[in-house]
Amino acid sequence: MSAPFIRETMVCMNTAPFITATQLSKRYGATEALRGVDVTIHHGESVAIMGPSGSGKTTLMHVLSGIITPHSGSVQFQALNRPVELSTLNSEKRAKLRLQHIGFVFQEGLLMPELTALENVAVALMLSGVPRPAAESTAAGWLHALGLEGMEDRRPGQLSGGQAQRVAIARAQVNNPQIVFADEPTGALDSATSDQVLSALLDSTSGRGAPLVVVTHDEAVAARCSRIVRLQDGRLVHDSATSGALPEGHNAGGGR
Amino acid sequence: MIRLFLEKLFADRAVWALPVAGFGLTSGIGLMVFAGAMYFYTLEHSALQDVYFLYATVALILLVIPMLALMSSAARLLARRRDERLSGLRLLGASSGQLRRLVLAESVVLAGAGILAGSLLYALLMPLVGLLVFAGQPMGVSGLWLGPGLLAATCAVLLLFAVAAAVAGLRRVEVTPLGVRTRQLPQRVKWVRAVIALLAVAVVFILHNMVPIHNEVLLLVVAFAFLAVPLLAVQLVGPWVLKLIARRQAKRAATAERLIAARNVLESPQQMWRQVGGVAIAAFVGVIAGSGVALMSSLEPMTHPEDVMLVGDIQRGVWLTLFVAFLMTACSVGLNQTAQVLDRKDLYRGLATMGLSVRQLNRIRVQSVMRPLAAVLTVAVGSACVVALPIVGLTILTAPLTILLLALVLGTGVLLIYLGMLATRPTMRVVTGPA
Repeated sequence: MSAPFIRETMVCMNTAPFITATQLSKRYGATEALRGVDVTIHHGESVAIMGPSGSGKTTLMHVLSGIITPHSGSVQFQALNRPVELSTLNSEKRAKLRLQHIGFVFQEGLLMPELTALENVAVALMLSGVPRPAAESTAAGWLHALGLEGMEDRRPGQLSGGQAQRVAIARAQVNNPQIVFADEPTGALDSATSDQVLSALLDSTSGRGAPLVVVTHDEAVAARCSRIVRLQDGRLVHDSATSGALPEGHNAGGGR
Repeated sequence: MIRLFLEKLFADRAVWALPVAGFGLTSGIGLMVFAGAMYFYTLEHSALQDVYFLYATVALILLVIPMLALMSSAARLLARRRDERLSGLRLLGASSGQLRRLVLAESVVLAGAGILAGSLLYALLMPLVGLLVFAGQPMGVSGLWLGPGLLAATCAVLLLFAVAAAVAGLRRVEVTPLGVRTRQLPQRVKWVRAVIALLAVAVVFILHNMVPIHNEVLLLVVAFAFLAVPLLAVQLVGPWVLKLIARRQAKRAATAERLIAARNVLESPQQMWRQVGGVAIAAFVGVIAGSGVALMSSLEPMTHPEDVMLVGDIQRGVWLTLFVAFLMTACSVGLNQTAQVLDRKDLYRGLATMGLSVRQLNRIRVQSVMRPLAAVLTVAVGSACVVALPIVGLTILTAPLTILLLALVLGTGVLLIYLGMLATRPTMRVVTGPA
């Protein structure tokens, strides 16, 4: 991995939390997916969100990244060092904020099958209005940094699972996002490849000072993150930043 | 296993509703087209019976390609709804023979239900289409009614086509326990197509213009071939030309939307051509018809009532054929695009999560269809002009009336296809909406 390239894209850091979420609640019909969750995410940290199926971890990621809004509670997001309250933005504004400031990595990669690796990464920049030559040059830099030199013209179907996932990481990073969310990013990979992909994800995100939030079932993945929060039945029951299980009724996720 | 699979088929509306609607639309239009042709075949007009027979056959032949495209689009839609369940069965250990039998059984049931719905659509359309006047009288409901025997036979043929298209669709994918894998490399379209097409057109030109033919039947055959071979040549050379154009567009694309649209075409130029290729026929006929109308308006006005009626009928017939060809293409685009949205629902949901708006995603899809459409129209109009030039001459071909009629035909066609695209937007909204 090319560390100098990644350092060039360092995000501007300050000491305030990057995301401050307080008293988040979200319901799906009669099911309460989140029940008064408090959590803060700081610059440069990697946070693993864990919990059994149905515990609310994907919902928490969706609320923190502005894909959905909570029924109650607040999400303060530091976009370009300006606090923005996500729950007050309409869906179009939240989509724009995601496109410009947030990177996403999905379990299946979700690359466009008809585009080459280079184009898959460059398109993320072109959609934000960057001219194609500049977009392709930056995209090539990210592919090289993630060890994919020489694979620029391959299509997703010609890449291995690990290579495709690294292309997806490059696509998530190419906009120089201020935070990256990853939903089971290694869920479809074997353990050796999973390790390599996770290293790529951690180095390219936390390595340049941006926070990384990973939703995972995998303890090995969580162990490599700087902080683990656990959910159960929509409640935050453990935060390694506060050194252990939270007492009954105490639902706060602390800082570092 | 097949019984169990079929019993669950209608339990989930998402599985059966769209394919049944697709087959319903296809068979409804197909039945109406066939009923229209049968009207002319059984028309009791002693003097002009042969002429009507000939023109109805030509119209039917012209509509075969868009009809087949429409049928394969409906089959593709069916395949998309089936794939996930098939890979699940593969995971449980079903053999490929069992899967094939299952696809066959499911296609018969869903296409059968669609054809029943299509028969209803045909019945509903009869009073409306029956208002059209041919041979001096409205066609009427009774004129368009096929009768129970012929209706059943046509439905059986449609069912056969639908099942064949569905089974052919299965051959293009590999069902694995982890999912249904489609091609990983772009389809190859070889230049040899262009050579064959050019040779065929050259042979027909030489036969038509240079070899003296005295036999009346042979003369008719050559005249028909003179029109039909370039039309078929366009179908043969079209995907190759489309590939060349899309490759150039991909290289020069300045925006993400244009790049994705061009790459989408390059993924399978043949499939994209099939989707919009029906328009090539309509554009081809549009040039011939437009110049024909201009040619007639330049001649002495006809006085014999039978001649006036025949010319009016031919013009109406041509416009009707064009309209149906465009309508079929628009439906084909609608069904294909719906299938594609469903096929890529995870990708589209992911892109929406990343912050792409539904408007941006729709713009990409519109460009994926409209840019190849422009290429198809250019190829078709160009080759039709080459065919029409020696017959009508440059003056008629460039007459304002010819150009006006052609513009009107193409404009209507493009609008219909755009509407076909618009019809797929609700599916995109559902796919990209909150899970």
